[in-house]
Amino acid sequence: MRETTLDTLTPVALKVDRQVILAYAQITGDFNPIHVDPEFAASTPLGGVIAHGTLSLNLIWQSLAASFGSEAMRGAAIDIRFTKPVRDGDTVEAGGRRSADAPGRFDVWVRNQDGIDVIEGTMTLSYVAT
Amino acid sequence: MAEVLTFDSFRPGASMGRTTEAIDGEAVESWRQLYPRDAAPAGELPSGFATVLLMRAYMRILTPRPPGNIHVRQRLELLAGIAPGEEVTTELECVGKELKRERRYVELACSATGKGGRPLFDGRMTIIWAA
Repeated sequence: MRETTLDTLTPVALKVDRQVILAYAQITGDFNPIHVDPEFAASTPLGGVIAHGTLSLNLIWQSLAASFGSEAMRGAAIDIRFTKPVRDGDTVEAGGRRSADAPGRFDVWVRNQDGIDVIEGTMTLSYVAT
Repeated sequence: MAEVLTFDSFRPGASMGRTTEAIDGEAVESWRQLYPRDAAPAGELPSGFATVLLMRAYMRILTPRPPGNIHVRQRLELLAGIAPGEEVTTELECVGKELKRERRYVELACSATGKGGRPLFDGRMTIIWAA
């Protein structure tokens, strides 16, 4: 295992708009109307279109790769919760900070432009020992 | 027409099915346009495609679903890189369900294998099932 003193993950951001949501729907095959049909979405308790949760989750993997390189992906494990919806027009940014609880573990998040966490959780790396 | 999968139809311990597919170049190109700074390891798909394959398996295997399901938690461990065009078989199993504060939680485990049965990723997803 390689050791590193890196305590924070390199932030990775994405501006989410309708075009981005539709492109991701095409990649995943997830055309749930809550993501792609503004009229339907407006009629739900969510009050409008929300982006796929994993659209933002992917930024955490990219933040990991930007920080440690692609070798760090081997054996990497993530455990996250989708805590708030991401809306058309939001800008989200993934990041992380080394956890004091366990070696190789990072607290990770995705935050919107208002500093609100939309994803929270942990990532454990087998590649990065300390 | 098949009946909608309801909360009552889930049996913890039961396999929900499996599906096999390969990620093609068009999907990879779309990904690069969406995430232009994502750097994939040489000869491999970007790591996020493990999540994509899981979601595509969920979409294919658990159908038809009631409208309004909410994905609340995701766990995923990457075991090996996935090659472009590699056939990936993803299996979903119901490992739990719980009614809590009038919400129906379904816990699904996934495991994916590639060429020669090599393990690619394992995970769990928690869904609030709508009906």
